[in-house]
Amino acid sequence: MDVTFRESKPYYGEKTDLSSLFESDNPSMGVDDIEELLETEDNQSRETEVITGLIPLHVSNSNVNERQENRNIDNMNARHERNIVHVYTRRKKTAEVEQSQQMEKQIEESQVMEQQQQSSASGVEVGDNEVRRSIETGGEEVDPSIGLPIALRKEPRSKAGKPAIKYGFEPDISNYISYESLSPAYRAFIASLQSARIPKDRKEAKQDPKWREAMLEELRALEKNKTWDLVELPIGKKAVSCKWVFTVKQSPEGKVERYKARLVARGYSQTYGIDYDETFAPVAKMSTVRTLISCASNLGWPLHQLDVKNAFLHGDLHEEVYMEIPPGWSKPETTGKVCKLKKSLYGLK
Amino acid sequence: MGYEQCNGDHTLFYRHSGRRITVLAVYVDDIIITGDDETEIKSLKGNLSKQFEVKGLGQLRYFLGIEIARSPKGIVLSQRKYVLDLLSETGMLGCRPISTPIDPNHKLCAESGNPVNKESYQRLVGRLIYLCHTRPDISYAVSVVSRYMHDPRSGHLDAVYRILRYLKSSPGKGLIFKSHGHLNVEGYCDADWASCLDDRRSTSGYCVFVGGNLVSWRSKKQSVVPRSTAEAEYRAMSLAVSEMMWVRSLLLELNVLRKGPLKLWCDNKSAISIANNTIQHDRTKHIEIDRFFIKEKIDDGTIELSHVVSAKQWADCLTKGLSVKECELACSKIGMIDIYHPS
Repeated sequence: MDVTFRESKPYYGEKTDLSSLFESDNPSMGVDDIEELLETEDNQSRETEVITGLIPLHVSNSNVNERQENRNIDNMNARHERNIVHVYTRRKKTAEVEQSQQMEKQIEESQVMEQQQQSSASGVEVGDNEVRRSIETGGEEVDPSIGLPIALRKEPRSKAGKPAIKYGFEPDISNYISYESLSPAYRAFIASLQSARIPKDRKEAKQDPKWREAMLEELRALEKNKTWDLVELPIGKKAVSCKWVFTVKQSPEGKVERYKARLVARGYSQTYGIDYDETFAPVAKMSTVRTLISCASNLGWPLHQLDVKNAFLHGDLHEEVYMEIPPGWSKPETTGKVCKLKKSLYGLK
Repeated sequence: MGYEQCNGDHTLFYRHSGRRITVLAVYVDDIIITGDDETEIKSLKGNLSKQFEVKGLGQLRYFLGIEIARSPKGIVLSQRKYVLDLLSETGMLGCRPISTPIDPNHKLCAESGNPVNKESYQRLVGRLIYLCHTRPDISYAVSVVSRYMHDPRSGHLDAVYRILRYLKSSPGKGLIFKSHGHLNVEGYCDADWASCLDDRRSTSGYCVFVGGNLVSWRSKKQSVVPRSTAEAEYRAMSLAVSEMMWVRSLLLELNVLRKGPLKLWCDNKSAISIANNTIQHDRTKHIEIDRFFIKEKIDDGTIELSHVVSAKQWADCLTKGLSVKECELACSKIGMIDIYHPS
């Protein structure tokens, strides 16, 4: 009789208090479940294969067998590379067929173990502990602790579900969560939820036509406004650098309204008195707005709203401010020149 | 274009043509246009779109993250999306709602609990302060938690979470502006004496109604230590009077104010008698400036002081934590309504 122990399933049922031991290393349960499903399928197919190959004759090293073994091992290797899942087996030596099967399996297992050791030698630290375990249990040798439940024999893995640090993985959520276990329909749904990703920098934004269009639109607006002249940078002056900032504008219902790219100057490098004197923004008091609304309500006035596009850019600039060529706008005629700003820009002081 | 800048608020522009008026409020790149002169509004819109690249968005709907809904019954301002965003950002969407924003007997002081992350606390309270534009009901609670911005402790953070739980109970709550057919200015002022446990300063609160609608309110810790309740009330009164003077100047410029004194209600009789009486009291020698300021306004007939029983004191919710019943009553009286509420 074969008994198969699995890491993710308590053999002694949920009701024993041992189950708490299993729950302690549980964060990757969902993935394990699916993996386990795959595993059982695999297992079954392997078992049947082996039996058909073995029942007629007890020949341990026949060619057929070897080929099959090789295939099996390949199979195992492939799976092994994907994810290390350990299966612990215990058998009684009774029927001949089973014995042969068992022997065959032992060979197989030892080969797998070699494989494991190789891979662990080549860097899989996680597997290390488990390899030793499987040697103990799989190798059929007398183990003093064999009578104990497996949950007690085996301590919880300290690094369960975590990639080795030496691989340089950052503790980022995307290392642990993936779309892989979702059906295509759900995957599409979730992808649509996350579609409004905001790029970090211009390089990322360039990949996406939506953002490229947004950047072009901003540049067009700036050119139309005659925001700058191209000049050579006078000696003794410093140019302010600039960058792109991306946002997704949302409607009150939370839908994506438009993609917005904005060129901002890094104004923090300006100094008071040299590059700028006064800053001013017309900000209405909220109580003024409420007073107006109360008037409108009591006197029946209509309320309208207007939104000025690129409002900040309408302010004329009196100081001499030079800015570097915006990234992504460089043409042959702009090399070695800087923008002398005529109108104000976001981020300037 | 013939528009005058308003003295009360420099971002407000208006133009009288005959008896009609057009008003323009500017908030950096957002503009609100209102008035009873429809032809002028149209030509103004045309002029503006010639000068700048504008997007005429038609009716006022969404202004600085505030949702504005208009129906024949009135205009409602709410920040529902802002509240829901705030809740989901803080992971409080699934929290248990609670019916008052702050514990009526809260004993928050500078040292309640262990220090917590300062930046995130400040950011969170900052978001709540912006929310106060349409939520006078949390003004007091927010003013309390914002006293500890420089050194937040776990007890303060718990108070902030309580505000979030309160917001969860009615995220769509907002101010309603009904038509009462008049534009009288009324004010209520109240104070909670020695409410701050750290330095025994008082909290003053006032709310100002224009045409029956709440337009301005404040909950503020006083900057000096008062020696009596009357004195604390008195300082709150002077704060309210200055705010009402500002509203009056604004309405005068818009030419929509009716003649007559502005009413200020106060529930402290001794504060009223100090204000009305010219005789120098022994106990009030040290509050001269506020005294003369209020006295002057009463004497020239701009302000009229009256007594109101504490139960009808609507500024109450700006100076102390209220019980569930009081809180609901106050919310309905200062004109707060949840238009999204299924009822």
